Amino acid sequence: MSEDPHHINRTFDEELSRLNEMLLRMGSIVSQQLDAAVDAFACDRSQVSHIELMEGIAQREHALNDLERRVQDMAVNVAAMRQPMARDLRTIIVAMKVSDAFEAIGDHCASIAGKGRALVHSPYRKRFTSIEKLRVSAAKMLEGVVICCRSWDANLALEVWQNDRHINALHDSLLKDFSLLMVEKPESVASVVDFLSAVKYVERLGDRLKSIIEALHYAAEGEVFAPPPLKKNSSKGYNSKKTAKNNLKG
Amino acid sequence: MKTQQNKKEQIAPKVVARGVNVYYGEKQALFQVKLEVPHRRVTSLIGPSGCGKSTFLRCINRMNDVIAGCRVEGSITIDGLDVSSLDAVALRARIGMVFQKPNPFPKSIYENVAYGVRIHGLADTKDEMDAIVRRSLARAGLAREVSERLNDPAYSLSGGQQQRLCIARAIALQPELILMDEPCSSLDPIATARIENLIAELSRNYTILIVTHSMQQAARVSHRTVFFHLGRVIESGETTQVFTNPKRKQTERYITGRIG
Ligand SMILES: Nc1ncnc2c1ncn2[C@@H]1O[C@H](COP(=O)(O)OP(=O)(O)OP(=O)(O)O)[C@@H](O)[C@H]1O
Ligand SMILES: [Mg+2]
Repeated sequence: MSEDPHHINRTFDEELSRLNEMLLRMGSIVSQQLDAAVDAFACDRSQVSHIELMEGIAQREHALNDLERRVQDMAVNVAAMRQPMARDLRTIIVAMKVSDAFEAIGDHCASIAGKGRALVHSPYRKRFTSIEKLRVSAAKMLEGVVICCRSWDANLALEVWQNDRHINALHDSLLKDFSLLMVEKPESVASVVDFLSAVKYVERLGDRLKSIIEALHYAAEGEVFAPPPLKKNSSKGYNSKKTAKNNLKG
Repeated sequence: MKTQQNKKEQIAPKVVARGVNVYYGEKQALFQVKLEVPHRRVTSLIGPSGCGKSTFLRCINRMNDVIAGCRVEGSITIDGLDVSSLDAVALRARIGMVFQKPNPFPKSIYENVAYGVRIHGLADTKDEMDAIVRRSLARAGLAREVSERLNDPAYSLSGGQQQRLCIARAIALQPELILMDEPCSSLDPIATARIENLIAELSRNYTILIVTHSMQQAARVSHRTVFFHLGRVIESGETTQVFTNPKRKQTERYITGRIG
């Protein structure tokens, strides 16, 4: 779980790595789940293949629920048996949080797929494939999260955390585009509202990924995650140490 | 409401150690120990066997003075007074000590508690003495078990009961500072919980320094934790910080049971 020297009690090491394996497993299922969810928006999908897709999603949702329960059980047992301290303690508490978040992300994916399926007959289907852009960003962030789950590397976590900005930016631009569409073609409202709720789920999913990163960062560093200062140099100078320093110099 | 007095006490530590070196003959056991023990708080000393925890406790009540070949350098003050400038007997009356192995006197249960009280003239009448003995036994969580057999020899008690008797003996003198060297190592979980509860109660009025090998116990009872390693203080801080986010790698390895 880290480059630390091993525990004198080796079975404790084994328990921690089993916990970690379950988290990685959840991460990989979630990533399949995300792909499948967005696939539901593909235009060329037949009725049959839609059913298959939804079945796969239900199965993975089930697997995620199961893994989440197993992580919780194991974390509680290890906490009771080992009475962990310091990094070990943080790791176990964070494992519970991470599994909880992965499970929730799995649910979001299922909701996204549900919207995709509901829009299957919408005349605006073609336009809704633009959710693919959002998928690419979310999948990239998810990939980073899974790598962080493997390495528990705080610096990497910080980088991945920032990816959420792209998801939010895409979300905002989709929202704008489709608001225009609704104005232009009022008959599109019902479909677009469905579509935008799927978009909203992706945005929430990004928030959940961010919370995983924050938890992993806490496990690694022992301090509650503090967001990095914004890169933009605000002219008012708040939130920017550089500006403050320069002011002092000048 | 917190009084001025209280505030002052919290700012000025009860015990301050500066540059303490201890030698047993040629062998140095403590190196430049710098440490502050806050007033009316529980401070635990943790660290691997042989790192100098007991040695440090013995510097405070000057018990190292009676160990042949033992030399202490540096300064240790209690309420700002250097312990080396105080009368050793008077000093030890102000400091209670509880050891790892119970060491009752070969006397009755009653006498074990009464002895020190009498020596230091803390009770004027038999009634007063009885009251002190009863109260001390009660606070140490032993009263109920021994109320019918106060005149039995202390050695007729079980190990855990003997330990609580030693604690009763120490607190009977109303010491300002109590030093405990692995006081629960021979106790069952219930007796341990009682002692820990007692420590929490005592810390309202007294300053307590406890050596323990149980990380869980240190986490449960103390406000501050000091980690010793090879005769040096490696880290000291708030107990919650030390056990959730130790600053030093050596501390982390020790408390999480890692090697390397
Ligand atoms: N009376 C003595 N004579 C010689 N050396 C001593 C004496 N007492 C302690 N030492 C040495 O001083 C060092 C510190 O011992 P100390 O008893 O203070 O350790 P400790 O941290 O209390 O260990 P433990 O957790 O095992 O009780 C050890 O190397 C020990 O061998
Ligand atoms: Mg010792």
